[in-house]
Amino acid sequence: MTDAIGIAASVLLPWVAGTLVVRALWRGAPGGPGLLAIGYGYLVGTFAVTLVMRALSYAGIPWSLPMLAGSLVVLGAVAWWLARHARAAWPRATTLRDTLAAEAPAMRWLFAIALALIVVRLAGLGVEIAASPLRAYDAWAHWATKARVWFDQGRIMAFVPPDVWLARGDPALYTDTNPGHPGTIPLLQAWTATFLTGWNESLINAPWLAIAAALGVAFYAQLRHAGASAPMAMVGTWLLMSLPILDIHVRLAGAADIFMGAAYGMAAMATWRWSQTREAPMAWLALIAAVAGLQVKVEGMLWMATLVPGVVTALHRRAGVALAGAAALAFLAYLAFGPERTMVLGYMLLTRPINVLDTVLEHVLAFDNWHLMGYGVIGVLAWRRRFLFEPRIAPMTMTMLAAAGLVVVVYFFTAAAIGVANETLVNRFLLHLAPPLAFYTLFVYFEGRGRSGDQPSLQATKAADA
Amino acid sequence: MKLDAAHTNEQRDQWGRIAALFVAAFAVSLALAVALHAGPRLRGAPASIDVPGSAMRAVKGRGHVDKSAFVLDAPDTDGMGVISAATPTFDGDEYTRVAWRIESLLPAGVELDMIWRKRERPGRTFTAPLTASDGDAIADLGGHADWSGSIHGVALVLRSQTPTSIAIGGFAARSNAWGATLADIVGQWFSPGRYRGRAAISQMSHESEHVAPMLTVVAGGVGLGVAFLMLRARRRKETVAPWAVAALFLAGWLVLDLRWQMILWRQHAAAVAQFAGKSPDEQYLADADGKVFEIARKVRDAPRARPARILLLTPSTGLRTRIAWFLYPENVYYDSRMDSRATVPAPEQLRTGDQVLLLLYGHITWDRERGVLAWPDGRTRAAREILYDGPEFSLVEIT
Repeated sequence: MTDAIGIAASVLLPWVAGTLVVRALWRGAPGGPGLLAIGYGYLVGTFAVTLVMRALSYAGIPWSLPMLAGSLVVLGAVAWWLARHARAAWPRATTLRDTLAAEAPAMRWLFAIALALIVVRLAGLGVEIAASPLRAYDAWAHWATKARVWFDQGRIMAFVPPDVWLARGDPALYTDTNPGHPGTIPLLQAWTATFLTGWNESLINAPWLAIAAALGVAFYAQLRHAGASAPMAMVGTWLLMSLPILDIHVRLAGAADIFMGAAYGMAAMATWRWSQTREAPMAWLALIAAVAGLQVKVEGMLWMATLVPGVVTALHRRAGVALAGAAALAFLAYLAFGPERTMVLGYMLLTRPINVLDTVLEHVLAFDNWHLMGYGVIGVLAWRRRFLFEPRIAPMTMTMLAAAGLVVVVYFFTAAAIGVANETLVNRFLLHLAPPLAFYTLFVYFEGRGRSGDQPSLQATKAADA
Repeated sequence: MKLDAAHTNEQRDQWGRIAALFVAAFAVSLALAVALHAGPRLRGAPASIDVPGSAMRAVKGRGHVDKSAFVLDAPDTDGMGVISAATPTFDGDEYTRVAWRIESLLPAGVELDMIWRKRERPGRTFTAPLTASDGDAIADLGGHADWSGSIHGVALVLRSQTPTSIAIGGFAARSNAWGATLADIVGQWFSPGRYRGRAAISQMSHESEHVAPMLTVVAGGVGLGVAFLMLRARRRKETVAPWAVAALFLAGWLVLDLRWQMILWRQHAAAVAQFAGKSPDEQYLADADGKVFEIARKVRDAPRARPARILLLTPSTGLRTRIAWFLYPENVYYDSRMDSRATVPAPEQLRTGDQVLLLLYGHITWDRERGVLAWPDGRTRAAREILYDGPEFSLVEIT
């Protein structure tokens, strides 16, 4: 029972505090985001948690439940105080009921079925997470090793490569399979364990279920703001949440990839929303999500860099196209004149490609890792091909082109191709891309159904919904 | 009110027509998948020629029967093992899909082939490679030039550079008649397969063993449905309704997702049965590598000084990584690089009080008589024995 309360508190405290922080971003606006704040709130709150833990560790203050929980309570209180004048726009059942009442019966059924499918899925995943120890190799070899030590020591301890461990002989140094990984994920596990009666290899994985739920809420909210009807947004959310690889990364909790995908997806969706409405709070939200993503995995730097062409395109279309062209040319020049092997952000860049196309095609189009997503993306983009570079879509298209370029480079022109060929990397890396790609594809589909080119602002969308 | 009712009925009819179109298109796609993989016969009798592991024997290498499985304990000195399955003579043209059920974990670096003989060409042995990621070793020999006529003398060939053992549950040659092929295709979609609900699925790569993976058949169905809509619209000089295309797509997605939900819940149930309500130690023991935990537990619970640095020295990367996990939060050293690149600690790199586990390790040995760790070049380091279980397992503390 104590652990049940602890686990609930460990999830809800950062979630509520983060939600209030997102609300506070809109404090000067006449209406604030409701579901959007809840969706982004967990990512923002957990990022704040890891910052607090890092700060305490840096200051030499051992972690304790009162200290950690108190910090989040203070953060939430300050955010609430800042947002106190903003008129609340929290989601209300009556609003949703009114929205659905205006829909055709078939659409209402669609909404209910999609929601039920999501809830059933999350319930099952929750049961399995609560029952199982860490099972994924990355989870217990790369990530939880640090969490286990840091929780035991009550602070961050340095992890170093085995050679350094041997050479320095310092008992304060530790080692594991990947000492270079950022600390965010182990810090989250250590945070969760602090709320429990002791280290619990199953319950420390509660954040994996929470981030999946948060991603779903953020995805739904952004689709609604983008103009999708409630049933369509819920169906779109079900499409995302039903992706087998995403579900697998929740149930085999402990690796960072779903957090990477959620952070990248949330950053991309907020960036794209900003590119259409130019709301300053949305830009801040995108920035926070992007910075959080940088701290999740080393690849975060690469993924977040793909947002830059979209932002530049939003500010100046020709500059964006020129930037993308320059990047492509630079890569082609590297292939033609560069050294055969170069280390870039942990990847061994090659000038000669390794052909892993068969493996990629099998895993995307033949095996049921992504349901029909591969076919859907190809179909929608082919159908709407003339529309992809229109002003409202161009920033999104540029981001996705950069992301696709990143996948091509990593899969075919780096030593990671070995991981793709032996199937350890092929789906994991694509999971990072899946949330924004799903949103982009759905957006292009919805936009292609006769909506006007003038995207209403957030407030206007909310007013129309009401 | 009447207009509303008429509108609702019209909508219902539209949805009904799309549902019917999806069912028809899916059926056509499935029929095409069967046609691509089936032979000329409609029905095959029997549907499968099965040989249990207990009816197998080792032609090369050492092995024994363990319940219903045959266990090859070790290949021959040249690294090759051959396991023969006593099948009746059968027509290769009618039984093209073969599978060897592997019940043990397949060690890395093992190559598997299948060999057979034919009545029509006596004295010759034919061979085909088998696909085996970490489950059944399978092959579709429909296109193999030498898989025809009267087949007999079927055997599995294993090649390995390292000592290895393998448990074979059985051999099956499946009929390629239309009925059996359809049953195989659909059966594989819903079968727990080699996982049998126990091991966790980390991706769907096991579908490489499927005759026709479900995604391709469903995608084919959606594609055929969309093609039908486009052709009809073209004939009527209309545009295709986007909602109809979306509905077909969603129907396909739903079919796939219901199957995925079934797999997921099967896995949830298996995980709960395997781990729920158990202590951490019991959970580790219940896992697939419970025996590794037993080794780690010996070290963890040994009468030794704490805290201490523990050096795990064992030739297998996977073994030392896993044992290390069981020993955290202690300060554990292991080299996670490939076995050949892993560093062998030098005597001067060990500190007084360090605890060293030597498990199947050859680069450093524990000399009990002298009370020293000994390197092959003659260097030594004095130590105190904590645990000893033969030359393959010792835990010592540097003094």
